[in-house]
This record gives sequence, C-alpha cells and structure tokens, in this order.
Amino acid sequence: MQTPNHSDAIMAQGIQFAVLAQAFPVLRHDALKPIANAKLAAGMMQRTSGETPLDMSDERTQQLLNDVDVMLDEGVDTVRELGEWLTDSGKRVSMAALTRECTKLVFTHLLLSGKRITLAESVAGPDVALFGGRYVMLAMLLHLVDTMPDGSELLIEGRPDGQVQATIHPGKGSTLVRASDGRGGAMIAWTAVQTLASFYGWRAELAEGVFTMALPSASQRKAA
Amino acid sequence: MTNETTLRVLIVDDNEMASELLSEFLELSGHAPQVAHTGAQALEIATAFAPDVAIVDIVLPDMDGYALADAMKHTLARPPKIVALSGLPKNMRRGDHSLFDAWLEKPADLETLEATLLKV
Repeated sequence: MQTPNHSDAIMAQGIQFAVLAQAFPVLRHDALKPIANAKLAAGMMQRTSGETPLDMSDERTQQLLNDVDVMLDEGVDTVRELGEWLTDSGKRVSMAALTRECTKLVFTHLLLSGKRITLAESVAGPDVALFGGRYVMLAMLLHLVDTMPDGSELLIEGRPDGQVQATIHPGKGSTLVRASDGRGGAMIAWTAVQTLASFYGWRAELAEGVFTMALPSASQRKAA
Repeated sequence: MTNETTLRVLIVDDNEMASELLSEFLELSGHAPQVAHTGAQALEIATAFAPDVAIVDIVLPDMDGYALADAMKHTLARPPKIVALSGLPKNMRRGDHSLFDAWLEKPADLETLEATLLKV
C-alpha cells in the first residue's frame, strides 16, 4: 500500500462526509430514542401528579425518576459515541459486528423499495479498525443498495479467505414498492467506494456481478 | 385528566420502555391500549383487538412501519387509523406518507399525541 498523501486524505474525507450524510437519519433516530423516552417518563410524572407536587415517597414516582436518570445517561453515551464518526478513537470491531451495524445504518434506503439485505452467518474474519472500516463498509452498502433494482435482495457473505462478498438476487415478489422522488441513483459512486477502501488499505472489486471487499492485510491492520 | 372518548389504541414499538410508558399514559388518559413489539405481533393482536388507532414506530425488527401500515390497511377487516411515531424525519427519500393518517416525530409532546389520536 502506498502511503496516502494529503490530497488522498482530503478526498477520503469528502467521501466520508457524503457517507455520513446518508447514514445520518438512522444515527439521529438512535440519538433521539433515549431522550424521547425520558420526555415520555417526565410527561407521565406530570400526568400522574396532576396539579399537586410530586410525591417523592410514591413508588411509581421513584421508578420513573430512576428511569429518567437511566435514559439520560443512555442519551449522553449515544451522543458521545457520535464523536467517533469524526475522530478515530482507535477502537476495533469484529467484521460480523461491523457488517451488522452498517446494514442497520442503511435502513432508510430500503424503505418502500422492497429491497432487502441478508447477512449470512459466514461473515466473520479478524477485528478491523472501526473508524475506517465503518466508512468503507457503509460506502459499499450504500452504493449497492442505491443501485440494486427495487424488490431485489442483497446477500452478504464471508469467504474462506476472509473477504466479504456481496451479490444481488431477484426479489421474492414484494408488493410494497413506491416510486422514489427522482433523486435516485447511487449517492456514493463505485469509484468513490474504491478510493475510500484503498485509502484505508482495503480493496473493493467488482467482477461478474460479485462485489468483494478485501480486508487490510495483517500488517496494515496493525498499523491502522 | 381523562377523555370522554375511549379509544382502543395499539402501540407498536420494539422499545419496551417507550411502549410501556406510552401504554401507561394512554390508560391514565382513559383509553384502552395494547402493545406489540414486532410487526407480526401487531397484525396478530390487531385482528382480535380491532384498534381504533395504531401508533406505529418505523424501525421495527421484522418489518418496517410502512410495510406494517400497508398490511394493516389491506388485511384487516376494519383497518385502524395509523399514526407514525418515529425518531425518523418525515421527509424520507420516497416520501409517500399516504399510508399514515398522521406523522409525529419523537420526542412527541404528550398533549399533541393525545390531540392527534382524537383527531384522526
């Protein structure tokens, strides 16, 4: 692998920003979840107490207060974790967990399209750097999901050599498909996927309808 | 405070904490809630429960909220009014929201939620 220069880094950051923008609705959804629950619990306390002051000795009030505390902690953790999309904390993650997370993050791209993603149990392999790996895997999924036909299935499998492969298969007759708003097409081009992969020492290839993502070599993984 | 109108409300949310709190709130408000945590469970409960309104999250484990709303409208003898309650913004890429009678974004104000249930 060649040492990335400054312009490679700038280009990679641009692609990452485009990838992050596409995953943002789901990240926002997850960040809002504990806050929404806390607001619900606070509303409940207000409703149960009516116009009288909160009875702190009431068991249900105590439980709701405790729930609010837990939810706010959860909310703080979720917001803090968002920082890991911008700063590499050096965390590593298994390929299986990385693929699962990225599949969840493209959820909004599947809505009303009849498209499905199936993860085979064979997706395994060594731990990889979370920061780069997440952007690379997400870029590939976004490209594939946006370009695959409505109603089709994306099958992601692990290969014995540690690579991840993705193939597109005809759908099984999903009926809930609505026309997109005309902004269709891939938000992330395949060349952008390859550029980003290369920047982090991965290798993205397409041959005869099979998309493969080769992980960084062991030495590159240590350096990453 | 309770309403004079009692609605049968089906809450569909895989988040147990959220669905339990919402169920408790609706009971306090004089409604009759039931909870489902998956789309399949929601369809099963709805068949027997015949809700007036279904409050549906969009991110569910087995199907998304759009697919569930579509199934409810096309398979139930008396489809409920469907209110989306989600952390996802309304302006999604394929923005067809005709499947929903209202869309509320989390965190929803409880008074707004209650008013929406009575309005749809």
